[in-house]
Amino acid sequence: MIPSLPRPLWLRTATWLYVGAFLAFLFLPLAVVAVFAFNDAPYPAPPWRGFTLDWFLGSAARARVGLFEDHELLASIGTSSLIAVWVTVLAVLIGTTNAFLLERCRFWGRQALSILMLAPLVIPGVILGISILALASRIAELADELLGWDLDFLRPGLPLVVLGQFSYVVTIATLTISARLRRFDRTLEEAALNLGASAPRCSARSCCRICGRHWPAPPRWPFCCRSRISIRR
Amino acid sequence: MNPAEGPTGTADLIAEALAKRFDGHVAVDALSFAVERGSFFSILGPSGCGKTTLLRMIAGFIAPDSGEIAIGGRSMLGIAPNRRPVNMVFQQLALFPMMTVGENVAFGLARRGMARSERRRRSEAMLERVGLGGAAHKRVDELSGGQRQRVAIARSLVLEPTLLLLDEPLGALDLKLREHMKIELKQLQAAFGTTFVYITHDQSEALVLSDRVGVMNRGKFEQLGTPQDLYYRPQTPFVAGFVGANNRIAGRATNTDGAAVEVTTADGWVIRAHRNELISIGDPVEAFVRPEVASLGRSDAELPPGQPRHTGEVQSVLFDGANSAVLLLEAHTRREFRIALPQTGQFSDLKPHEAVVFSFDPQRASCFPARDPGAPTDG
Amino acid sequence: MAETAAAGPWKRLALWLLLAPALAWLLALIVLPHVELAVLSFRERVGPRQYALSFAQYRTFFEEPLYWHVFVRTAWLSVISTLLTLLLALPIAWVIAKLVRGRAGALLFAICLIPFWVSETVRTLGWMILLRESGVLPALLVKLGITAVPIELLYRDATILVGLVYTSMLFMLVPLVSSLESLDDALVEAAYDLGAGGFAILRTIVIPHAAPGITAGCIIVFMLTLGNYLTPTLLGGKNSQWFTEQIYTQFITRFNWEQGAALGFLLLALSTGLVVAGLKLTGQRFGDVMRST
Repeated sequence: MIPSLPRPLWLRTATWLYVGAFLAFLFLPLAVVAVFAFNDAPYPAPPWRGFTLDWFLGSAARARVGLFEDHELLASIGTSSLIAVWVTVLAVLIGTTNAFLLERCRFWGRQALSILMLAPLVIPGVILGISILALASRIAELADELLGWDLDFLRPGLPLVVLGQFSYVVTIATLTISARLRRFDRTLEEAALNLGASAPRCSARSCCRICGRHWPAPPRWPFCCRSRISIRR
Repeated sequence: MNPAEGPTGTADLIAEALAKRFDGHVAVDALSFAVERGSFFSILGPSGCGKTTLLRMIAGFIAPDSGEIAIGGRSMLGIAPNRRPVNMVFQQLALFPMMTVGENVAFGLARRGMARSERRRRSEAMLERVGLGGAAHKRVDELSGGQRQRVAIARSLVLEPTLLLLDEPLGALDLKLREHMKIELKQLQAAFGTTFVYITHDQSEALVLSDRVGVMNRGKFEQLGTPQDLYYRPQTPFVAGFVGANNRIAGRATNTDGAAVEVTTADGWVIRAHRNELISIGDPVEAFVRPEVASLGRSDAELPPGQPRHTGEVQSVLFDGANSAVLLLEAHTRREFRIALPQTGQFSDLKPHEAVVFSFDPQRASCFPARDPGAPTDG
Repeated sequence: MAETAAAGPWKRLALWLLLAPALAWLLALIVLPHVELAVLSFRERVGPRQYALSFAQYRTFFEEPLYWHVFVRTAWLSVISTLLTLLLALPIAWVIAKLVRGRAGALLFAICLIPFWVSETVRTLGWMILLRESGVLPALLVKLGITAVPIELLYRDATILVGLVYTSMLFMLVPLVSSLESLDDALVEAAYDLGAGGFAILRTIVIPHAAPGITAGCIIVFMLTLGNYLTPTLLGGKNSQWFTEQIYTQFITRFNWEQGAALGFLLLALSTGLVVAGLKLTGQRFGDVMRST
């Protein structure tokens, strides 16, 4: 069970076999995609017909458009990256302010607010998406009818995609950062104050200290989750 | 070191030549001892001396590299921890927070397949005996430190083990509670009659609680004996220095006369002490004088007759109620010397820098050949 | 920020500065959109740009056997895939948290997380390359002599399950590892010392201790599975019959936002109902569970 307890041999071998099988399961699809990207055939399917870089660099002779020449594809990679960057930045920013709000401030309704912030976790992503789409369209229609404004950013497009992804990912960022903040030793902040640092400087530094060690995690989530919800025509 | 020196009785635990190394570092070095049935045995030693390793070997969590362990007459070679007639009280107690106190105590019984009514009866009876009757429904975090201590012991004792191992259980408690629990533990052990093996670094616990104590240092027992043996007749400088407070005076033997030896320190202070082993003139030696053995006076007349007399100057008075002591500096060498103040309050007006005289009976001062602190001690 | 130090008015200002983005997010992106969705679901198009209040959308759901069938099927498959993910992730989480110590444990954990840096589309594509008729696995089966001709492994329920379990593994592993790591080894040793064997320790100590993490993982995975569009559609094809796909169809293809909104709310009701039932069954509270991740 744990290293300090005796474990029979069959259990130990079974454990490592399981870990091996699990890792194989995890990496098999990725390995397959990676391998067949170099296959000299029109479709990513066996049999293996030879190694080629055609699919990356293109080949005029075989009329294959390589990845690095397919401008639409490259543009879409750019778009995906742009969305991911925006979502990450926003989510980490708002996640941090949320975490500080929940962990460091006292106000009426804090408990209810923290539960409400967990709502996106229990709302299916598709509903988060369509609801934002519906509201944005309604507002755009109203603006158009009543004020004659053409609010393009509220029509289906990149800003809405960013907002949609953000609305879910910021919950995860808040959870992660507030968990870390809770474990942060308050006495360090108090010691700093005692030694003469001003309050905002204290918070900023302590924030940087905990987040510095933990920021790699929240940005990873937005990057992973970006394909989750997409609101497109 | 020879095993069990106590009265011959049935031994519940016999360890022979136990040894364990970790990465070239010797944790336990060919240790042998026996613990008599129904006794309270303590293993006393500083951190890192190997006592936890020894305990875990007895419990079965670590397999010894060599040597034998027999509990209740049966060899424990190759027997898993949960199959040994041994139970352990862990240092942090390891009470199960997800269960009530009653469920904690009944845990072992439930694992043995006992019926629920029987389990409840026994665990409640046990809680009564440790003074927690009626607390069965409480959760673990509702209890105080001392109460949790008792639950941990009850949880183990309800299984009626041959041997109960305790891993520094009083470490986390505050002073008053610790003093109280020491007495409780002693009474519990006497009431149940189970053999207790207790490890600690606190010599006061070991002295108060135990029938016999083994002082452990660097993987070996320096001395095995009753608390009185260890205190009044230490056999090695380590034991003399570790058990109880002691003034340590290092120097060379300049004269021997039967069992007495004259020690001269490097800076010229001469004292007399009693020797246990063979010491030749010129050998480096260490002498130990207990604070309560020395007498203090403002003039020679106040000192007991027939003892060599020394002069000193008071450095500080350590007031601690009945345990008060004075730290003084010997007049010529300026060495520190500690003397326990009598409880009559006679010296309550002692001031720093006051000139005093002191003496002690050489018969009650021990002297040992000096050992290189890096070399392993031998018996 | 240390509450003790900041002076009165600054403290209020700081509070409002922190509250503003939170309230803006919650209001604009969560509360109001759902209100809008509710409004949409309760109306019916009676003429060009004419809408009337009605229950027609909800009535359609109950009257169309297809909707109901797909609804139940989606719920059922989601529950199964959640349980499967839990069973598969538990041993690995235990290995990472308890068996492999220190840096090796962190390394193993990181390795398990790497596949999730790759987009879901690519991962699903990988499964398609593996499982479709012209793919790797059927070819392997033929080579080993197990089947005579390559069989179509895609477009089956089992395939959808595999894909869903694969996608959700990360979200189950993280809460599990974090809750198992907080289990004190001394508790396991003490239980062992008192006579418990492996299974008894799992049952009486480990599972109760890890219950919040398990519940959190199950809730997150269940939600993601229910709302998943890509994996069931790609791996299940036209036979996927996934409720989320229905919602998308209404919204995007048929432009029947009212119907889509009603279906969306029904899905939300289902998921909320199941989550509440699950929490009650295991005797836990939502806030505590989520904060344990």
